[in-house]
Amino acid sequence: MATTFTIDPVTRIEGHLKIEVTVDTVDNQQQVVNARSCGVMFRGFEKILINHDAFDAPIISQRICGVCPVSHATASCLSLENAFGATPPANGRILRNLILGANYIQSHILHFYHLAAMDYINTQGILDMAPWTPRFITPDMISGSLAQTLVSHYVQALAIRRKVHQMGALFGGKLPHPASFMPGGCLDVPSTEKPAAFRVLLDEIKQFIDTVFVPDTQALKDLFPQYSEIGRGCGKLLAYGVFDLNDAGTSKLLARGRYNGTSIEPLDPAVIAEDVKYSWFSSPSGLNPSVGETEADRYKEGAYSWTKAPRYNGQVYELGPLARMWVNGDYRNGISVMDRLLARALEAQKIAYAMDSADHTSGWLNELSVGAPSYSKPTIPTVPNPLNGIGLTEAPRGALGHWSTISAYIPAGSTTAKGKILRYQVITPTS
Amino acid sequence: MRLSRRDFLKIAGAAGITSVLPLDLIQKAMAGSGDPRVIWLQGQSCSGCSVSLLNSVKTTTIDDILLNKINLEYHSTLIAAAGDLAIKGALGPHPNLTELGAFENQWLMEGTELKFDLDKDGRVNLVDFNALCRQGYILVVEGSIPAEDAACPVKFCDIGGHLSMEEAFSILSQKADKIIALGTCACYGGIPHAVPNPTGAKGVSDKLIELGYSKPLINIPGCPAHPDWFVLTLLKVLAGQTVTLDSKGRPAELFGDSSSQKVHAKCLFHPSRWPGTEPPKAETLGDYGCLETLGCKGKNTWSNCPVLKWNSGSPGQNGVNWCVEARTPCCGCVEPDFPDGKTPFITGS
Repeated sequence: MATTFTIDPVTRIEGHLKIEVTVDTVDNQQQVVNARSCGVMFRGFEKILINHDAFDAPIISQRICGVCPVSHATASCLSLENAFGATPPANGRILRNLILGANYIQSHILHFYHLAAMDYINTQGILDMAPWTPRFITPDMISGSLAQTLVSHYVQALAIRRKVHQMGALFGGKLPHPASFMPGGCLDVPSTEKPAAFRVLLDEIKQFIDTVFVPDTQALKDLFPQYSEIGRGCGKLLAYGVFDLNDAGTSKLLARGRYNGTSIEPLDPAVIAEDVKYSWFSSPSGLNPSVGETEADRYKEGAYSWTKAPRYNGQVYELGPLARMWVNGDYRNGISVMDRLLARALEAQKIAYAMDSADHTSGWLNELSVGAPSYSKPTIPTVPNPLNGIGLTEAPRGALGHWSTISAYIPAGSTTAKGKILRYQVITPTS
Repeated sequence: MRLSRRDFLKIAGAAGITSVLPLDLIQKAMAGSGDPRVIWLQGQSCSGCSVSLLNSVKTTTIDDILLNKINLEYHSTLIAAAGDLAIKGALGPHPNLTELGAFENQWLMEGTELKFDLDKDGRVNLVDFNALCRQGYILVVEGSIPAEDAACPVKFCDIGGHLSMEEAFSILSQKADKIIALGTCACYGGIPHAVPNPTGAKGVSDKLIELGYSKPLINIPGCPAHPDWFVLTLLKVLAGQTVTLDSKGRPAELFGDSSSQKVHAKCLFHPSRWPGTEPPKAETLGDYGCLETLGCKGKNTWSNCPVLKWNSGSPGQNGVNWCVEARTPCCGCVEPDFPDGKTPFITGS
């Protein structure tokens, strides 16, 4: 007999999620026969952005997610710069990398210690109060002195991730929801003092990553060998790539590409589509986001989620730190629950050292040029009309894309071209 | 009125209430250190206000708050539990409707009739249980509350356990001692409320009016809310101090109505800070100077951002940066008309 298990709500995530899994015995073997991932919250950002001034987009769209707002701001700037044919000055590109990198590291630390680790540690006798109780405890969870050590790292990680945000705010204005991201670069500038302050914080953060974060994820991988065998997913990995290393964006710290199960292949954004057959939208299914629609329909038959289902050439791909590290050739040990945790920690380490090398002689901080501009406001072209832009980047949890369509026209009595948002479509990694 | 755990067990034991409800269940319901209870509901939020709170350090840190100041009983991003355990809250048998009714009538009556939402297995869920048993909690709301269609099984925002955000807010707000709306979405609707407001989103104060409830409410807006705004206010509430509110329901000392409390008045480019000379003016975006002609909303925004700043590094210290210091026009994120009344955010050349 088929049994359906429901986890509602799924907690320790950003957003509102319900999981339904149906298990049945087929051909004498018990197996999952159906699984539904249900996004159960809708706001309608893609509708709200329409008719706004194009320059409102980075500020509004980053509010989609309070954990990865910097990624949304980045995708929005890249999309508009693509539409306008604009390229930020080198300082702007580097400052955006530094702020984005800071947010990656805080998100990775938050993910491991404050969201995921609770699933592996028996905190009874250590944290016997809300919000850590009530909770599920299983016999194989880590207990004793190691559990105490990991809980102390949970508390230490709270302070470290705060410092990572402080580091990013030096150039972002504030975090979460940075101020300084605009199409054309970064509005804040590198003074002589700020890179030095950034470096002091980064050194402490690197030490935490090297001596606590990476060893803890490795220890977990060793302690739970069974979790290196499960959670293999679809076996296909995709990354839009992130952290541009040149102004043209052709070189990235983490490359663009996809792993089809056997080889690394290039990525063609034209074959990305969003299915909505099971989503509460009346819009056509299978649209490329450059012509995407978001028409809510709560009464749609057979639908069960507010999230759309993105596909690459009709196929499902896994996204995230493991996908990025795999595509880039930095981690190819396996695809599993534990490989995802370890790849995430190693990615945090890679980003931290790309910001500033161990001996402080190379890296993004050193590439900043004090006194040189970090921002150049784009002129909005008047042709073609409309202007279309694609902004592909990565959120900590995976590939993130913003597709924008902007009107190009010259208002009467003005010589300044202005753009209004005609269409705005976002594919988040979690969908 | 709030019963302490000890008070409750005393009277419950004396009156033999344990024959009505299993003692272990009562103990579970009353579990915790006795710290003030906080239930944190996330509606149409991005969790940015929760992430911002994690950055708290100037007044005190988040671990101090969680370990020593409050009992955070429900917060979907931070709680260890999930699924039924998160919502129902008790591992033991759940009381039925009759038992809960008797329990309420005998011990916790306050003259209002509670309605219970029985979930599909006929048991009372945690939200009801909280509303009934757990007197004296502070309800924190993050995110806006959409307008659901009672006739439609599909909701714009479910919080789990067959409860929509609208239902959960309706139940939990009735019995809360005090409500704190955290962030502009919870205070005034924020971005989900912006034209065309696809989900009929509202902030807490408008929702309370719609429900006909009168509850002590403190608005702490911001996109996100500054952690110190929340922590300072929470500590005042816990200490039983009066929080004086401005005309928009915000702590007056942090936001306020007077012209001297405007972002413009406190800004580093205000003429009062440039004696004998004109403050520099930014001609184009990216320039150093006053951003008034480039879209800055500092003259129509009341907050202490320019002084407090953001992302402090240590106790007692102000933050390291803020929007205008990062050469970005203030976008007015703490005001009720954010974002519709504050856009376009960028103007001029």
